[in-house]
Amino acid sequence: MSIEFIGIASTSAGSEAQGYSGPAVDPAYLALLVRTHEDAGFDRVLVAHSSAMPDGFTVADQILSRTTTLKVLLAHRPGFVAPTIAARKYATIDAFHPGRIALHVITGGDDADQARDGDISDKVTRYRRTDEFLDILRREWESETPFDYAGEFYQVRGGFSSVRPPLGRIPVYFGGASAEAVRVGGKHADVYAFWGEPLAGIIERIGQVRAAAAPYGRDTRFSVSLRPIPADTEQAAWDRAADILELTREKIGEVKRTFGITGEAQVGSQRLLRYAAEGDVHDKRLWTAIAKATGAAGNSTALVGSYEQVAESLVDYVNVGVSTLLIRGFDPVSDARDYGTLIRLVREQTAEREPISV
Amino acid sequence: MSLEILGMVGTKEASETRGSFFDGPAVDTAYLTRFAKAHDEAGFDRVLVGYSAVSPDGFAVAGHVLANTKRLGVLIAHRPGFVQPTLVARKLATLDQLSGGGRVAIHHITGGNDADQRRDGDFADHDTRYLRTAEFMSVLRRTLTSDAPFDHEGRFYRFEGAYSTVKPVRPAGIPLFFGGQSDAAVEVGAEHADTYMLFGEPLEQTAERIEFLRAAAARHGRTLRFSLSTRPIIADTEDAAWARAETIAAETRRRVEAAGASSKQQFHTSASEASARMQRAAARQQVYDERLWFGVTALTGPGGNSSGHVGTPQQVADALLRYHEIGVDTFLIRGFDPLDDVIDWGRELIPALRAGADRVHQPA
Repeated sequence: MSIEFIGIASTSAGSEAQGYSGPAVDPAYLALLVRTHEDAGFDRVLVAHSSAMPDGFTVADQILSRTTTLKVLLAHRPGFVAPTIAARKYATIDAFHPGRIALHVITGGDDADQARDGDISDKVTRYRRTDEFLDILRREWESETPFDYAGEFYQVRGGFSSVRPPLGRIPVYFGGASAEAVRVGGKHADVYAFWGEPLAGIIERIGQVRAAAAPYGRDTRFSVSLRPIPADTEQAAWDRAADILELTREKIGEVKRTFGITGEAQVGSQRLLRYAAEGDVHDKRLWTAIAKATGAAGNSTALVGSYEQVAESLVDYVNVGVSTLLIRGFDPVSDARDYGTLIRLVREQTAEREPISV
Repeated sequence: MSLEILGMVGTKEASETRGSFFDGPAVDTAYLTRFAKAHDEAGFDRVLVGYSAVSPDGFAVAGHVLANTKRLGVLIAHRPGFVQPTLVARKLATLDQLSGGGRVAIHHITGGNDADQRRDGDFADHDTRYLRTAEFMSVLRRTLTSDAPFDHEGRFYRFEGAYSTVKPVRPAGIPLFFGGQSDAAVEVGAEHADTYMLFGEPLEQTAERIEFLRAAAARHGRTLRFSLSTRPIIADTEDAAWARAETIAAETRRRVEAAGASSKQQFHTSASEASARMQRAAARQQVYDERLWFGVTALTGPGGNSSGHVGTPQQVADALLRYHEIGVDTFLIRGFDPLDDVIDWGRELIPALRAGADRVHQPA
């Protein structure tokens, strides 16, 4: 099977190292960024979700209209849109762009960001809600006749959609590192997404998810998110990494103001910070200094090295059972273009084989 | 005030007399593209994207319309209660930004049918729903305009630090349309709507209604714009237009009888006061004001707007301009032959409406 590469879309320029200024939506920038991904050989781009950001459904639709083959992984937090409606939203986009949309379920790690959109439930409750949300979503996609559902969070009577995914189903990606997340994700996820931990951490987490998925007979696939910093030589890459760290430290106040999210309540963030506390570099070249500097509120660990070295480290993740790599840089457009080389190298090295299971 | 002409798009060919709402794929992308472009070329200002609890999602449909037209705006029908108002605000502002600005409006419908609400998980009663709509519209407007995070604590929604980084392109922002004729509806629409939507009732009742709604809005220190929905049936001669109306009625009758007690029929019924007013008008007489025809309304029972003006393009334009004189500035026109009618109306009806509106605005 071929490795899936996912990049990231954004409606405005910026990163931890560049800061974020300018309007929230710059249509020309979005078009440039996603076409660059398509040209570089990415399969998909992630459209993220936070409670102050431009709406992802609209952005996803725009991306699909402005590219020809690129797919979208649209992040969605259950709890703000009725599940039957969310199902119809995804199915309608899929009807216009068959097979090009997937759902990334995130349950919300930050209470303050949830409260901005009116959700004041705690995290454990949120995961129970996510479970119901996904139960209903699937029935709205698949049920041939009107259905009823009575749960803790949602009541549906006569639920039915006239629009269905034309290729049968919409892939469900899922993120979350807590025990509740693993329980719910094991049941529902087609692809379980991890942030970039050292290989041993990924092996541990794959084992947890497989155990949770087994009772449901699910054959879950796995994704790892990383921030490659490649250059022509290893030394040049580390020089570049040092520059990025310095810029990130300068911009850190601005970044925190922009997103207002901390990683304090997120198990995934805590895991990254624990690795960062143990040392700046893990395995061959997994660099955690940016995670440490930013509080690891998001996917923030990097692979630093020559193109060949970074590609080799990406293949190391494939070797432990990962089949999707989400890679994004610190200079979004030029990195997306540059990653075309990494994508080619990884595909060459993994073309003829199945991912090896742990 | 300038005349605004709205059409309506669906994701497949369907009306009382054409195609099917139920059979075949729900989304016919090529048809929608052609339909949207036809509106753009015929000189429509905007198209309504409808809403029901089994239909394709209107925001996705609106995105497709905007991406495939140059100038045409959208009016996205939305039922409060299923998506947080802060999130809807960000959806609208994002779409407005990505489509160049000034092309996005939202129409608030509060749900005339309990069963359709329950399909999406809402079990609130009619009057409670309107109270929720009021709170929704208030938070929506605030999210679209607020320069700083705000808190809100109401009966239905509670927010801490609500904020959108994305705002509409133009200060006029996103117009808020509203429909509903019950007492509970009027209280909400008068306070929160920019444009109040009316079904195609006779001139006299419409004038009374406008006066009533203006008085209700004045209590909140507001002025409203009004929109009237009608289903024109035009032909080269008046006789030919009436003959066409009879054909439409015959086909509608045939389909209603064939559908019988089909369970799918329930998807399109309405218990709203607006629909009840139309049924009462249809029960009294079939034609008002020379050419406002309720033939289909009587056959289909309470549902969407189904009365239409029948005549030559000039006759229909003149009939609509009489509404313009009493305060209607927006017309929502959709046909029984959806795509063909749009193309046809671009030739004479719409130019005649625009020319007539200019005359109305000339000082006497």
